[in-house]
Amino acid sequence: MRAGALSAGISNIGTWVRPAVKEHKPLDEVRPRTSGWNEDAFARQQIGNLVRQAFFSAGNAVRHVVFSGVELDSDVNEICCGVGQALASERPGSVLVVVRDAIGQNGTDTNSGIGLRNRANRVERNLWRLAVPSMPSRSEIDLDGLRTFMAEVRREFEYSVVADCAGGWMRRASLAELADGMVLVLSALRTRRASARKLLEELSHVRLLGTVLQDRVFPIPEGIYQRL
Amino acid sequence: MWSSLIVLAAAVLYAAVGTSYEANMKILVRRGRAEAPVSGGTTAPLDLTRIAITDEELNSEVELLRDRDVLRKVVEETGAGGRDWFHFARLGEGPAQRVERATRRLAQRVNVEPLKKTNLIAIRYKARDPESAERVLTSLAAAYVEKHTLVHRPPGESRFFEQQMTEARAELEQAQKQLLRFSASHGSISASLQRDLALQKLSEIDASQRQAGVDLVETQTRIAALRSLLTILPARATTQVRSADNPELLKALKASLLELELKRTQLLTKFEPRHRLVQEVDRQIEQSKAAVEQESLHPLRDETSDQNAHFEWAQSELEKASVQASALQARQTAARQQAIAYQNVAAQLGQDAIIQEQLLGNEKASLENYLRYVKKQEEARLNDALDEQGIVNVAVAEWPVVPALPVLSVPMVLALGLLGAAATGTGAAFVADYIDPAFRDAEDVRTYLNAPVVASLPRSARGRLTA
Repeated sequence: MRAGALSAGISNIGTWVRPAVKEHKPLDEVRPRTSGWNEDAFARQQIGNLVRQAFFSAGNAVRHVVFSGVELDSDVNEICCGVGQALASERPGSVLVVVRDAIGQNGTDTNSGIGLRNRANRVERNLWRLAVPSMPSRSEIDLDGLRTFMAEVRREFEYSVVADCAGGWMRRASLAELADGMVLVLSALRTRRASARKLLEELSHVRLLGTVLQDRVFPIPEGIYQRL
Repeated sequence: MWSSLIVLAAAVLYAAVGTSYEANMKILVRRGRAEAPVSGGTTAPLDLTRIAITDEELNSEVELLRDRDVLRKVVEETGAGGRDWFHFARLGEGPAQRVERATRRLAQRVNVEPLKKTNLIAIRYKARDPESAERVLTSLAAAYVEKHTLVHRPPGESRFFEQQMTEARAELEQAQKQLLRFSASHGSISASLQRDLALQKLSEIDASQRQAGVDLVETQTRIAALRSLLTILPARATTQVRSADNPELLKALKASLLELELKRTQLLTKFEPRHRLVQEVDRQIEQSKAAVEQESLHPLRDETSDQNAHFEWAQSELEKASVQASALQARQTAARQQAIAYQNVAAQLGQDAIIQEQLLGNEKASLENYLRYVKKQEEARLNDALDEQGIVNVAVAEWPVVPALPVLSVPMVLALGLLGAAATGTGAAFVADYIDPAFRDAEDVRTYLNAPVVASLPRSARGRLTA
């Protein structure tokens, strides 16, 4: 529901959180029910579930995941950072989080000659963060560069969470194919259904590990919402 | 949220400046005076078949209350109707246009509704000012009663009947004059009666003539019979017939017979019976006896005749009958002539009677017409008088009073506004949500994309996903 769509007196009447699902079952989104709901804890719980379902549900087959939004200006850096952090806390292996720097427009800087570990910032014991410039949406796809970059990421890190910038679907497809899978990031009340469906159809050959719905709001309790 | 706020603001504004007061009024429609319609009869029949007010009558009164003339009058008296939001754009309008607009607004604001299963009409009017609401309805009641009276009894009815009465009187006088003129010219007061008398006389004369004819036939028959009788009857009739024997002769015969018998006896003493002398004496005796017998059998008739009374009577009757026959003939002739005369008179009187009856009928019709219009004129005059006094078939059962309380109190308006705002906001939110092409929740994503949702992150957690 759109934030603020209700009149005063009905919004934020209380939220509650269902305990996290530990068996990697499909995530049941729960709606707030009572007061005392901790949004941050809920979010971290969701991130934890995401990590388990995306990386560990298929054994060890998935280690390098691309997070991609639908809109041209969608920002998935924060999610990637959260996932990377959760992943690093779950596993002892090295984790690289590749985020997009919107300011730089110089393309994927993969051939700088410096090792990734040296270029990346070490955030935690086993967590590195690398900011790469965003690629203009109309720029040509540098497949070789992407391939080299991903090969280096695989070589130097055990896990990687790559934030894909918005671009043409071909570019996304290329990056997702080089990774082990892709997680599509949707924005509640913003991402159009038709756009997401179209993107998925175009990326049908890519392994989709799941979707993330961000920017959720819970203005109306479940009971009233369902009745309406 | 914005729609809810707008509705709430509108409610607050309405509570502050839009509080309205509602005045009520009820009008009773009843069966009024029995108004006899103009009809051909002297006494127009009253319509007593309907007992209740019909829906048509009730709706007619409702429409009268909504009539533009009535409302216009109310507007002119009270200034009701007010001004609309765009009055500033019509500053160049004249009074007539302003009144008309106000009338239209008043027509929309006045609620006129017949109450079901009653003869009442409820009228409601809301205004910002309670006195104004009461004033408008009071003015409406007065204007309506006036209109009602005007509609149900158009003016000039009394004058119309008076005019008709005058014309009818003139016709009556004309018919009477014609009748008198006719009677004077034909010399008959009552031609029909005279005709009847003439016919009666004619009938008597005819009867008399017939009787005379019958008598004449009878007399003639009598005459014929008498004549034939006279031919039969003798003129003289034997009045007396005496049959007496000739005693001398008979004595002599008997003496002779005796002598003969003595002689026989004497002879017998001498002679035998067969002796000639005896036989001769026997023969003489026989002859004497025969003579005596014949004399006894054929006595001497002495007939005395006189004039035959029957003949005389018949003769007399014949004469009388002849005279009577003549008289009867004369009477018959006279009766025939009289009958012809009376027939002519009766025919003439018959024609006169027809004409006179026609004239009488005209006079009677004119009289009836005149009397009818006299009655109608009087009734119309009475009705006009009743109308002037306001005695009509509608009455204000409940006069409007100045409402003490508004239709909705401020707290109620605010509560309703709050409720409306909540409903509007919820509805708008629901509609917005329904038509929103974006994803709403995880279920939406799963349903539409057929892809698992591995995380659902609240917006409020943005910027705090990492430690």
